[in-house]
Amino acid sequence: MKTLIHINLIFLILMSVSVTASGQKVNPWDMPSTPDELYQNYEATHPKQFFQHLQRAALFYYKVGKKNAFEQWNQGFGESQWVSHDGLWFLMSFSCKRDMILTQPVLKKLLHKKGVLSGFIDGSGKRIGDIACNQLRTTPKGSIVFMKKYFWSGVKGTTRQFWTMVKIPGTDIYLGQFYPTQKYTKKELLEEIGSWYLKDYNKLWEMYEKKV
Amino acid sequence: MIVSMGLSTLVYAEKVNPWDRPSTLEELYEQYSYTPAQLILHHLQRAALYFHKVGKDKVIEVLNRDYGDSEWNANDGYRFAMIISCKQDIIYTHPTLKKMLNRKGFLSSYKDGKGKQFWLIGCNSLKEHSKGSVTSINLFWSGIKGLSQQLVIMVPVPGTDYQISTFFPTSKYSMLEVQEKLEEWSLPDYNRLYGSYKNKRY
Repeated sequence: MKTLIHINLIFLILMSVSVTASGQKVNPWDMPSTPDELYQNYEATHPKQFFQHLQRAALFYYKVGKKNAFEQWNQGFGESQWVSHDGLWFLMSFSCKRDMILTQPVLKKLLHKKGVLSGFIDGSGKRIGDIACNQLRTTPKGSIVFMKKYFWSGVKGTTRQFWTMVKIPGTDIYLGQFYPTQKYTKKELLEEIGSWYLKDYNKLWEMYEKKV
Repeated sequence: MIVSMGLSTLVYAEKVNPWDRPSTLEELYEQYSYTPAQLILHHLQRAALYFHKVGKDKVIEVLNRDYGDSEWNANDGYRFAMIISCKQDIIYTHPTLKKMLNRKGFLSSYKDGKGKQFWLIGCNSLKEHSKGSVTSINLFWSGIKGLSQQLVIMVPVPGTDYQISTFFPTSKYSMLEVQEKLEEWSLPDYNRLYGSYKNKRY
């Protein structure tokens, strides 16, 4: 029972601290404080850009090596190019095989435990970590998972979000980002995702995943 | 001047692996054409919002950090931002050449590969396009032979005499096309910030 309470507490923290904390919005340059503002802020950027952000991170992994890449992905919001202050560019890495979240800008120590990934749930109790990993079996290069209700720090209530993922070719590591939107459906995004791969990412895939 | 243009991004020579930087003009254009000009504008507008959020000293410190060390200047040069002042004729931030560029008069003397004083042109264009100006240039790119066609976007930081600027290679967009779309592409938060200072004197 005690363990269960502990795990639930982790998820509550995990979901609510998923981006930097902001209170009431006072100026136009503050972080969003209502779901409408949140959607508006994110909808200026097409999901394709979030997906390509992750692919560039996979290329970066090979350019600088695992140690350096992990060090950068674990830095706080705004401290590296991978995770911006406004949460618009965001990245965490995980391994389905090891059932672990490997990097996260704020909660790195808290999340870096076996079993946290599969226990990752949204506000309606949907096990998004498990769903994501299962989906990646059928589309190994990358995928999208829909989250019905997800918290956002400083915003009342839950919002509709997508979790976008790509694989780092030649490893068991996936890179993921979530973003709020009202505009797109899962079906329409999954239909388009095939045309969103960068040429350089495809070359990397050919080199590491087509060997076997 | 040639040194500053040549070093405008990290130095890379021959491209060997797919994750290396481009080594030909075609690769350079191709790489940048993945990112719509609208997102490059948004990056600058967010930097202007960030300026108001954290204040001048902090924003100058962050934008002066090296490539990859902050969200504003990415390793691959996709997201790149400099703070300049047309009024003071100074380039305030640059990820690698900060000390060399931070001198009065440097901004207006900065030339492209054909001798065009592009920032001076951009500054003058802001008188007509007060929300942001677009200038077409021909500039060197480190590790690539010849000149590439690039666009310079400048947006004002509302309520100050500073501007945020970037340049990016493209064979896809024309200067006029981006200039015409600028208003339509503008972020709602930037529009609000701009509107709240528009009628104020500073």
